[in-house]
This record gives sequence, C-alpha cells and structure tokens, in this order.
Amino acid sequence: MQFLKNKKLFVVVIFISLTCVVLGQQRQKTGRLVGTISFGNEQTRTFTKFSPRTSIILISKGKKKTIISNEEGDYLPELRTGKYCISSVESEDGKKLKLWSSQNKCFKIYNNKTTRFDINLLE
Amino acid sequence: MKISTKKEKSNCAFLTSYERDTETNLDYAQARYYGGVYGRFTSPDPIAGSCINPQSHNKYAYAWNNPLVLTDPTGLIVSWEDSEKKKEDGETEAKTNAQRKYEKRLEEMINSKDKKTRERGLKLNATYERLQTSDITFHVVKENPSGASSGELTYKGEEGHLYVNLKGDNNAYGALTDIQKIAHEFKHGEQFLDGQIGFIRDEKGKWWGYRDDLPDEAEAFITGFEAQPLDPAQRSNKFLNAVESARSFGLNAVVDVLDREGPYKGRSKTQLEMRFVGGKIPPNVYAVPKK
Repeated sequence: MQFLKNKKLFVVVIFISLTCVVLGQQRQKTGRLVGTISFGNEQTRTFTKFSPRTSIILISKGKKKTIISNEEGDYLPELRTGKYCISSVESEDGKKLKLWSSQNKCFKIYNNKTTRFDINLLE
Repeated sequence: MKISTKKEKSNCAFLTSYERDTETNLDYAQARYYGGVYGRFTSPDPIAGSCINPQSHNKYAYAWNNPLVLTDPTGLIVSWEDSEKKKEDGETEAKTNAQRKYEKRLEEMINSKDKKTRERGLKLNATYERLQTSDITFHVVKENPSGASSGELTYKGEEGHLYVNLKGDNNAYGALTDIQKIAHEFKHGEQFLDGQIGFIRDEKGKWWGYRDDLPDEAEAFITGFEAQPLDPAQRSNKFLNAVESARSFGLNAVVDVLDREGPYKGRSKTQLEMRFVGGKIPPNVYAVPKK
C-alpha cells in the first residue's frame, strides 16, 4: 500500500512539474531585436561596408547568447525580455572585431516590442 | 500622388516612433501598430499646387471644419483618404483638418516675407510634391487619437502602400504637433523613396522598420522643426528641446543628441542605405534599392 501511495504521489508531482514547465514556457515573454552591423569611420561617421555572417556575443543575466548577422549584415532575432550587453563581436573566421568607442553596448528587449540596435565596427 | 491597386499579403510594419526607457535611456522602436486599411492619401490632383495658390484655401464651404465628421466611426482614424472620398462624391474642396493645417502652414511659409522661412517652405513643399507624384501611395491616418502624440511610417505588407500614422493628440508632455509630425514622417517617406530606409519581415510575417538610423531620424526631426519650431510648452520636454537646440549646429549635432538623450540611442550613427549583395533586394525586405 505504501508503495502504491508513493507511486501515486510521484505521478502527481511529475504531472505538476510538467504543467509548470509548459505554462512557464507559454508565458515566456519575448521581443524582437532589429539591427544592422557595419564597418565605418568613427571620425567622419561614414559607412564603409556591411558585416555579413558576423557573430555578436551578448550577455544577459550571466548567460551568453550568440546572434549571427545574415549576408546583408542584418539580424532580426526574437529574444527573451531583459537587458542585453555586447560581450564581443567576431568575424566568420573567428577574428575579434572592434566596436566604435562611442558604440552603445547595451539594449533592452521588451515584451511584444521591437528594439532597434545597430552595431558600428571600426574599419 | 499615385494610387496603386497592387496588393500583396496583408502583414504590417512600421518605421519610426519612440518611447523613452527611463531606466537605461536606450533606444527601442516601439511595437508596431496594426490596423485595417485606411484609405488613400490625396488624389492625382495636384494638391501640393494648392499650397502655393491661396485661392484654393478659400472655399471650405462644407462641414469639414468639424473633426468629428472626419473621424472613423471606430474612433481610430482621420485620413486624407476621407478627403479623397468626399471628392469622389463631388465635394472638390473637402479636406481633413490635418491636411488643411499642413497645407495652410506650407502656404504661410512660402508666402512669408522672411527669406529663410520661404526657402524652408519651398523645401517642404517639394517633399510633399515628391510623395504625391511617386509610385507609392502614402496614406495619412490617425490611429489611437487619444493616446500620446507621436508619429510613424508603417508598411502593412501591401506593395505600393505606406502609412503615415499621426497617432495620438495628447500633447500633455510637449510632444510633437500634427504639423511637425507630418513634416517629420513625410521626410521619412522621402527617405524611403531615396533608398535610405525600408522595411523587413520577420519569420512570423511581421514587418519592421529597417536601416532607420540616427542620420535618418535627425533629418526627420530637423524637417519637423523647420515646418514648425517648438512652442514654449513643448520646450518643457527635455528631449525635444535638446534636439531642436542642436538643429542650428547641423545634422551631426542632432545625431549626437539623439544618441545621448533620446529613445533612439543604439541606432547606427552612419547612414545605412538600401544596398544589397548582388544588387538584389532580399525577399523579406521592402525597399527602394539605392542607386
């Protein structure tokens, strides 16, 4: 009997846990990041070229998240809400790329909203 | 303005608008607003010509002075297409309040004794004419009229149709006037035609503003304030006051203010144009390629 009771309890606990996980996922709040990564001259503020297939490594709440720009240098990922900061930027071949000194490093993602955040790289 | 009958699937997008994040002061272009299709903006008639013909403004014989007449029953919209519809019904001088206000302002500027004001008026009128004669139909609408005042240029997925949404009328915090918003958004319309800004569709089918950078915004703010400088009440808005004050120092000064003070912080400081690999516009982009 005790075994059966424990088994029932185990099933109930598992069911509740799974329900919580599913509901939690359903309630996950997300927003959209829209941006373009490009090279340019910081002094003259002139555009040089877009930066395709570039890895942008972000940090949010201690976790890393990498987004990669497309062939045109654009990115449009859906991200969980919260504050994100640029950790580093790498070219397709793994080379570290430098940001403009005046580049803003952080942005926020809001629920069901879009955040426009571009990245200017030193040429 | 040409009226296009071409239609594509009905998704939505927007271009400019802003909200201030008081915590980080970072930029985020806010959520896109989707609504129905609200009419067309202007007719093939040379309405812009009326801006420099004072006679054309003297015949408001109908009841269009009452904004309620021009409000959609849903309470969502005042559209220049309403004027178009009235014209189709034989009322040749029907205009919305927004249209009338804007055209009157252009007329005042063009007829001003001050040379600088005249020049600015002619420049604004040239932009207006450019939009009217383009292949794109610009719909001027007013969604959420009781909300906070801001404007945006949106794309709803119908090829050949862009929407200038004047949004709210609530200027309690010194937000932009209709005239400033129209001039600002018309500038964005011109930027679209020039291949400076566009729209991009995400994997869920929503359209978003694309490559709308700080120089684009700075140009639009300058144009808005050229149409109508800030009034004393608007100066209480720190952000608008800083932008307008920077205007006399040129585009880069305004870019700096937008980057430092405003909700646009985080956008590119360089002009990102509609140039694509192999010169082909990607399938998820709606834009005029830069020549």
